[in-house]
Amino acid sequence: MKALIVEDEPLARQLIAQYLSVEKQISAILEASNGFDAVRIINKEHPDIVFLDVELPKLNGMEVLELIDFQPAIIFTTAYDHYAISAFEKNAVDYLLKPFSEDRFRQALGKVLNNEFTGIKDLKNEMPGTIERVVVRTGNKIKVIYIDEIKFLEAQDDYVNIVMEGERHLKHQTMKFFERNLPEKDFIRVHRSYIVNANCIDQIENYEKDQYLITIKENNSQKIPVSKTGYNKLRNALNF
Amino acid sequence: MQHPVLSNKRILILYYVLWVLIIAGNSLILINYLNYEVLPSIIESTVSFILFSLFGLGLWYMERYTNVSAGAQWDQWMTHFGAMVLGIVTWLGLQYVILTNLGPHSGFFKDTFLSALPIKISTGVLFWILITLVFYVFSYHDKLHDKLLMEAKLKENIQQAELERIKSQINPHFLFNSLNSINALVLIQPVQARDMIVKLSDYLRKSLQVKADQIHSFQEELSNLLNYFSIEKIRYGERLEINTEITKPCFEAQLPSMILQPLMENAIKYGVESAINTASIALYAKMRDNELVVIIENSIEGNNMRKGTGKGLNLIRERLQWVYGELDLLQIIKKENTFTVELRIPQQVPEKHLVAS
Repeated sequence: MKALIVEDEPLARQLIAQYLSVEKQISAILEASNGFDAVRIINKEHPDIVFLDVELPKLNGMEVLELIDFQPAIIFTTAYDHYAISAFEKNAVDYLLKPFSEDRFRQALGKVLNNEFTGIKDLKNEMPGTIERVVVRTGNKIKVIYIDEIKFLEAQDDYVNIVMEGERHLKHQTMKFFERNLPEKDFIRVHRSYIVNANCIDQIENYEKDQYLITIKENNSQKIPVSKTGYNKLRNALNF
Repeated sequence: MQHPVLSNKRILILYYVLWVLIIAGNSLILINYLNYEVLPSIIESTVSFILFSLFGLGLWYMERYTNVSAGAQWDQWMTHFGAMVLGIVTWLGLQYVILTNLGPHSGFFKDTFLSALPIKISTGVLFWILITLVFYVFSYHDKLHDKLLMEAKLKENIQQAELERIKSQINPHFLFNSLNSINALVLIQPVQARDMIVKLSDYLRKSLQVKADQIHSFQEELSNLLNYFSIEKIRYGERLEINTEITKPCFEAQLPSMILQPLMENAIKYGVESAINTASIALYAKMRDNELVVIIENSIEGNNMRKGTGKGLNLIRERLQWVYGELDLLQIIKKENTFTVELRIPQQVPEKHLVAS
């Protein structure tokens, strides 16, 4: 059995490695100190079990899970997380609150070694709270998009097209997810297929009775249709 | 609130000077237009207005305990009106009793009192209303002043409470991760574990002790900062490095205690968070124009947008403003690869703000 430890603090890694070193069933211990390395190693090495710190540089633990092709057993480790703990429970075999005792560690590990878990459920709609950034894969690179950079989102079959200044990225996700998790004061679902960043709206024009179109700043070519309920949401959000 | 006339000698004198003028004026009117003789005119004016001046002083209490304002109730108006009627009747009665028992002119006053009654009543009402209005202005001004004072005080209290809250806030991530490091060290390097426990205890003690208006030397602040940094260094190892450049005169400079701590915490947090490799922290201090200038800088790797620090920095800015009464003591310089905070600490602290630690 291969294990991967994803921790950005060397001592935290060493502690887990030390605990794992006496387990006969663990044949290899891999280490990663950031989210990018974690994604790369999981996709390449297919570890059976991953100890994943939630607070990581660049990509956090939840974002790592979104980007992997292979689903190992996940044990989250976190020092203090006021909102996310309940969400992790759904996505992981277990979670360890740092500092944890050796007994607690072996108990969590035991769940994996004894096959007591049933695999990870669909993560896609479980992102807790309000997101600040979105991660997408472009080729073999990972791109981190801060939500301020997003102009609008467009539904495209099973994907959402994230439109930014001069670039767009597809992400396998639902509109409902973004509607729920982006800050609602900035991002408005104006149409079944569109969510608009209110800060990027240039103008809203009326082209037929009860029919409106949004023009986005510095992007005049694409006009975004507004549904009737979408128009009411806009009016509420922008106070007109 | 004190009586505006009785509590101030000069105003009291002014008050009676005015009444003497009124008495003189009234006497002249009686002599010239009603053909009174000189002496009875003076006696009549003096008795009636000296009496009234006493009522006038009493009117302040009337004003104090009722509230004639735009939103005043009907019954308050009625109270005022009733008091006026009662006051003027009493005033007239007293006048009558005194004048008709006063020396050689008592017979004259007895004869003329009834015919003078309408003019006496209207004069009384006029003065009553006039004095009430003057007192109303006085009390309104006073209340406004009190209100403004209270508002300012309240604001300061809130600000201080907020400062107390923020500076004693120990970052739970830092605390639990440090404990986790100790947990690991106990197993791997027990000697270092003990060292870490001492460092962490020092940090906690300092964080719990500090008060918003406490001032201490830069040397003390620096030792706290470096202690904090060494804890973080144990946690992050190779991933964290620091550059310091401090000139010697800085050590004696005074500054609010633990004011640099949150800046160092932020610098490390955002430096490390954005860095795959090594995060560089810089700490510079020098004296410039009798001010201590401290610069804390962290590297930024990639397009990491710094979020959610505005509030913390604003609180430091407010604390500085609160202690030194000066704006713009904290400046933020954001470049592509660095985030810099520059602090100026004046070394001549206004007396009223300085509290020795």
